[in-house]
Amino acid sequence: MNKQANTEIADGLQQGNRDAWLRLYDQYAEKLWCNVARLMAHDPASVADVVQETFIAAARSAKNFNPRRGSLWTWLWAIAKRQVALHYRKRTSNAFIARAQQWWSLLDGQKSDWIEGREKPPAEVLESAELAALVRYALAELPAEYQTLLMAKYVDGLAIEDIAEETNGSSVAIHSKLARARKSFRRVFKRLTHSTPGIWEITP
Amino acid sequence: MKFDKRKNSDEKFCSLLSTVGRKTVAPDREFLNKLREDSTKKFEASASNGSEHLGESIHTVSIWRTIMKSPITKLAAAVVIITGVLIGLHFVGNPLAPTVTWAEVIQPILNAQTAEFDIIIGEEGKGPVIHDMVMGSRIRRTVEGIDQAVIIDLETSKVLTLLKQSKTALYLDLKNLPKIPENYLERLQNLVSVLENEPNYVIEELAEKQIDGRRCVGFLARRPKGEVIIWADSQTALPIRIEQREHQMTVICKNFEFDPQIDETLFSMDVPEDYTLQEQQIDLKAGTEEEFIEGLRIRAEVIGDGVFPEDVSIGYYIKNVARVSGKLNTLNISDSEKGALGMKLARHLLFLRFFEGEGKWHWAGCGVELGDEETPIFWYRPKDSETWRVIYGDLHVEDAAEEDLPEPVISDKQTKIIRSSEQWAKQEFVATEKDVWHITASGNIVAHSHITLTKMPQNPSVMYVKLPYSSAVLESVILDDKEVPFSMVANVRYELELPAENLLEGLTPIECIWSMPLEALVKVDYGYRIRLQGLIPVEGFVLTIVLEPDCGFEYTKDPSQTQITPFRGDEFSSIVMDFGSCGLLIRKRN
Repeated sequence: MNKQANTEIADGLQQGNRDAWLRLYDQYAEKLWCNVARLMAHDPASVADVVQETFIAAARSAKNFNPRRGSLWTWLWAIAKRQVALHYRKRTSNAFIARAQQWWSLLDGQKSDWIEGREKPPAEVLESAELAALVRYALAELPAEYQTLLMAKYVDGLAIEDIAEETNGSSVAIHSKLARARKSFRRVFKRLTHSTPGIWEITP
Repeated sequence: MKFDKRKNSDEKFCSLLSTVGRKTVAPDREFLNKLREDSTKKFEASASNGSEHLGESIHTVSIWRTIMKSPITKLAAAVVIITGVLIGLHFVGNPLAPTVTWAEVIQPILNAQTAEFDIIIGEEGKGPVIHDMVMGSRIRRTVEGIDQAVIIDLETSKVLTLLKQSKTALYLDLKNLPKIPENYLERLQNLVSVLENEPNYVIEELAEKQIDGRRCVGFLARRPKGEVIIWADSQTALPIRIEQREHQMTVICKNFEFDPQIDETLFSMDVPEDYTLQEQQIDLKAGTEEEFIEGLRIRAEVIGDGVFPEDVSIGYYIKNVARVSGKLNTLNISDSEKGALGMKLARHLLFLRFFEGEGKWHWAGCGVELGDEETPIFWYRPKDSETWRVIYGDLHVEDAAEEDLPEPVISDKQTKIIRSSEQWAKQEFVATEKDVWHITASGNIVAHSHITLTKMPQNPSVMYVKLPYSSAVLESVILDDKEVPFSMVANVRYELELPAENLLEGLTPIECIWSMPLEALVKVDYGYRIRLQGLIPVEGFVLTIVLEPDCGFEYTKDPSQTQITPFRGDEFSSIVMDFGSCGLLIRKRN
C-alpha cells in the first residue's frame, strides 16, 4: 500500500469512516492470517482466534491510529504480535518445544554455521517439524517490527524496495533494520537451542 | 565479491527462516468474511459512541456462525451437540451438602416445573453457549451461533434435531443412553437425597464473592474423581451458577430461571410437515480404546494434515467443531463415507467423555506427526489395571509400568509411598550425581551412581532412592568404604539405612551400584536413548558410559574411544529428578 492510500485510510479511520475500515480489512486480513499462521503452526482454531482478537482490538482503537508512528501494517501487526504472545502464554504445555530443543541438541553438523548463514542446513533438517517449531518460537519472541521484516524478506521473498514502501521507510533504513533483525533472531535462536538445563554432549 | 558473499549468506539464512512458511494453515475465507462484518460493526460502534455497545457476542460469533453447509457437517455438529447434551445431563445432577443454607438454595429447584439455563463446556468465553429449556422428560437445546434446535426425550432416548436452513429433521436414536431419571428436573431434585447416601463427598463452604454483580455464597463438594461448586445469591438463595469438574472436563451452568412460561409445542417430537427426515443411531456407551485410536488417526490424517492436535479434550473439540466439520466437508468422498467418519469421531469422543480409567489421562501429542513410532502421545491407566497403556505417534500401543511412563505421574499407588515421596517433595536430600554406566559383555549395564549430598535433614537415619528403570535392581550401597544396609519399599524404590555419624554434608560420597539389561534402554536408529534421572533430587548430573572391551559395541563417532559422556549438567538452575533424555551414539561392532 502506498503512502497516499495509507494516509487516506488513516484519515478515514480517525473520522469513523466505514469504507476506510473495510479498505484496511480487505488489504490486510489475509496477510495477517498468513503471518499469524507462520507463528502458530498447525492450529487453525488458534490462528482464527488471534486474527479475530486482533481485528476486534484494532476496531476498538482505530480512531486513535496515528500515521506518524508508523504504517497501518506496522500498527496492525503490533496488535497481532501481542495476541500471539498472549496465546503462547496461555498454553500450558511446551512439550513440543522441549522435544524440538532436544532434537536440535542431538543433531550432527555445523549448527552455528547454519544459524549464522555460513552453511545451509541439510534438506532433512530444513524439512523437519522441529526446526520449524524452533524458528517459529524464536520469531515469536522478536519485536513486531523485526518479525514483519524477516517474514517479508525471507518468507514472502519481497524486495527491499517493496518492504520500504509497505512500511513507509527508506531502503537504506530497511537494510539496516534487517541486519539488526537477523542479529536479534540469531541471538534468540541460539538462546533457545541452548536453554535446556544441561549441556547434552555427544563427544567426551 | 563482498556483495556476492552477503547474497549467499542471505540465501542460507533465508532457507532457515522459510521453514515457517511451509505447511501453514491457509486463510479460512468463510471465517474472514464473517469477521469482516463483525469487526466493521465493532469499528462503527466504537467510532460513534466512543465506547462498546455490542457486548461480548462479537467475540464468540466467529467459529460458531461459520457452520455448516452439507448434511454431513450438520450431522457432525449434531453429534457434538449430543455429546454436550450428555455432559449437561450428567453434570447437573451431582449431590451437595444437606445444610440448612443448602436446603434454601435447593428449594427453587425442588419446586420447579420448568427451567431454563445456559451451559458452557470448557473455558468460559472461549466456546459456544448452550441454552437449555427443560419441561418434564424433555429438553430443548440450542447452541449459540447454530441455526438448529435439538429436542431430547429422555423417556424414549430419542433426539430430534431440526436444521432450520435446510429444513432437515434428523432423528437420532440414542442407544445405550446412560441411566438417568426420565424427568430432568427430578434429576436436579435428587441432589439432596443422593448426597445422604453418598459417603465419598466432602463439602466445604466457600468465601462469599460477587458474580454478575450479585453477592453469592458457595459450596464446594469434592469426590474422588471430580468436584462441584454451586454459587447461590446470598439474599434470595437462588442458584446462580454451578461449576463442575469431572475427570478432565469443566462444565459451567449459569443464568438459571425456574418456572418460566414455556410454550409446550417447543418440545414436540413430531417432524414438522415441511421438513425432510433422516434417521441415525448413535450408541452412547463409553468408546473403546480402539475407537479412541481410530479417532486419533482421523484427527491427524484427515483434519490435521498429518499432525496430531494441540489437545484432545472434549472442550477443545467442541471449540473447533466448525473447522472439523468444514474439513470433512472438503473431502472428496461419498456422503455415507463422511457419515461413517462423523460417527467414528463421536465414538472417539465418547471414550474420553465416559472415561473409565484410573486417575487422569495424559496428552502429549501436540505437533507430533502421525507415524512417529517413537513418540508417546497419550497414556492412561485402565480401570483396575496395574500398568498403563501408552499410545505412540504411529498409533501402536504398549503396556508400561508407572515408572516407565514418558513423564512422571502422581498416582494413588505413589501417594501410598508417603515417606519416600515426602523426602522428594520437601527435597530433604539434595545431591550432585555422577553416574558411570558400564556396558558389559553379558549385555547388561552396571551403573555406579556417585552421589555427593549437598543438603540433608538434621540427624537423618534413612534416605530413599529411586532407580530410573523398572528393570533396574540395586545391588549395593557404599558409604565411607562400608556397606550400607538397604531394603526395597516398592518397585525401584529403596530405603537406605544411613549411619548418621558418617555423614558429612557436601563431603560424603555415597556410591550406589545397580544394574539392568541394556535392552531396557529405548533402541533408536542412531543407538539408544537414555532417560536422565537422578536417584534423588539433584542440582547437577553427569553421565559417562564405558564400553567394556568385549561388550560388542563401539562409539559411532570414534570407534577407538571406549568412554563417552553423553550428558553433562554441572549446575542446574533448579533441583530436579527428571531432566529428559539424551542419545547414545553406539553401534554393534562388526
